[in-house]
Amino acid sequence: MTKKYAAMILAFVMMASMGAAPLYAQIEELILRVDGLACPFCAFGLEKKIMKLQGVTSYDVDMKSGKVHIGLAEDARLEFDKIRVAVKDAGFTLRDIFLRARGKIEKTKDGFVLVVGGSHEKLLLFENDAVAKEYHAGDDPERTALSEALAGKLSQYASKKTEVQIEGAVHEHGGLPAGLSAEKIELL
Amino acid sequence: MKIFASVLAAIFVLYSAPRVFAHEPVFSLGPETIYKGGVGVEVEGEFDKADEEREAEMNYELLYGVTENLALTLQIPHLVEGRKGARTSNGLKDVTLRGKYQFFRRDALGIQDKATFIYGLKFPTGSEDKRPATGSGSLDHLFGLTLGHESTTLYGFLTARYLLRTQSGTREKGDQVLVDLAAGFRPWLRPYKSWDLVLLWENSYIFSAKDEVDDLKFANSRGHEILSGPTFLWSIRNLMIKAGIQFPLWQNLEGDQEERGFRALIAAEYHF
Repeated sequence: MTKKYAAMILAFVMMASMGAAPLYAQIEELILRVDGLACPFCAFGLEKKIMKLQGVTSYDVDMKSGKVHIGLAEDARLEFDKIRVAVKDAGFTLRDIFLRARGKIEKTKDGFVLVVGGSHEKLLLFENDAVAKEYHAGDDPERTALSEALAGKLSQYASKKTEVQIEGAVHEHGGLPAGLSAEKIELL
Repeated sequence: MKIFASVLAAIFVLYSAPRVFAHEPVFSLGPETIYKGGVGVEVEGEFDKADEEREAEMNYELLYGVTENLALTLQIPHLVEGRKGARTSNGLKDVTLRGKYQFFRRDALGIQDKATFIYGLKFPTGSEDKRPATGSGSLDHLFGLTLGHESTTLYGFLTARYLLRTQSGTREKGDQVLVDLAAGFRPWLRPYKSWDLVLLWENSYIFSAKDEVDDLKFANSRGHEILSGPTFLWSIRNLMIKAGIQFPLWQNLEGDQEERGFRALIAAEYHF
């Protein structure tokens, strides 16, 4: 009898946890390109600072490429300022932030966005080589930030509400969501 | 007078002693600071031998990172055994409080170049009355400038320090100049969470000026030394073990002063 109840409770917990899966999937990995990482002993200071950030679950460094791999919890929010301060306080220089995230595409007035995390955080999508372009007030973001082919593809994903996985470099904007220059997009 | 000479010789050895932290040279100071809010502790054992004189001491250090480029270190040295002929002594030596300010840093992929000012205060906490003495009796100031290049493959350090000594009663020890040059490499670049090894070769020049008693120059003082030898830094994440030995290449000590045989050091450092 006890076993029967235990099995029922287990089944209930499993169902509940499946039901609790976020509507929007999450940032799977955050990768920081950090300059000055010359020794593993010194990189420990960065580990201390990064692990203190909310939602960080794992930390590793590829010393050769200077890349810091950070695992995030499902509901972790991207707080660029805190990441920047953590790297600075550890005594290093942050060059780039990359991420790999799963989510759904939405079309907004600013362009296409990837919606990630339980908090529905949005990342404005850019063509990989569009980051270096110059932008002006009144520009059509769809035309300036994305190629016609990519805009078409994203439009399709947005209308079908298909889940995608995107890898790319993150950059910040004033008054707009952070930008993600999509290096790789995969349908899930 | 001979007792005074032994006191001076002991102090000479004391202040040529290393104050190590992080990936800095074992027998010198490097430009390294610690991350903001970081705390480090270090325990080091040092052994010096000069003919009939020998000294075994332990140093306990506490490091704190005020900011990423400003660090404070408290050093508490303890003489385990100081021997000069038949006389032996032990006890607390002179405590030092030292600050490091890193005024320059250039980061590149796998490379960090930096330059740091050093200022230290040595307090007269040791005893002048013991033979050999465990303290100088004077409040001394240490000024330094250190430059360093660290990369995933190569290491280089250049450090210059000036020890300004003040008067203690009628006595005033001669100021000291210490210049250190170290170069090394990392034989294998291993994954972050496994162990890491850096091999260095360290060269030290030490000059000590004449001591004075009642404004008279003391004969058995003043001298030059050049020491050289291999050291290593072995670490695994936040634990570092470092050790080294240096032998004199050249010594020119005036009057009746014992020539140094060697100095050796082993230390363990842990960052929280």
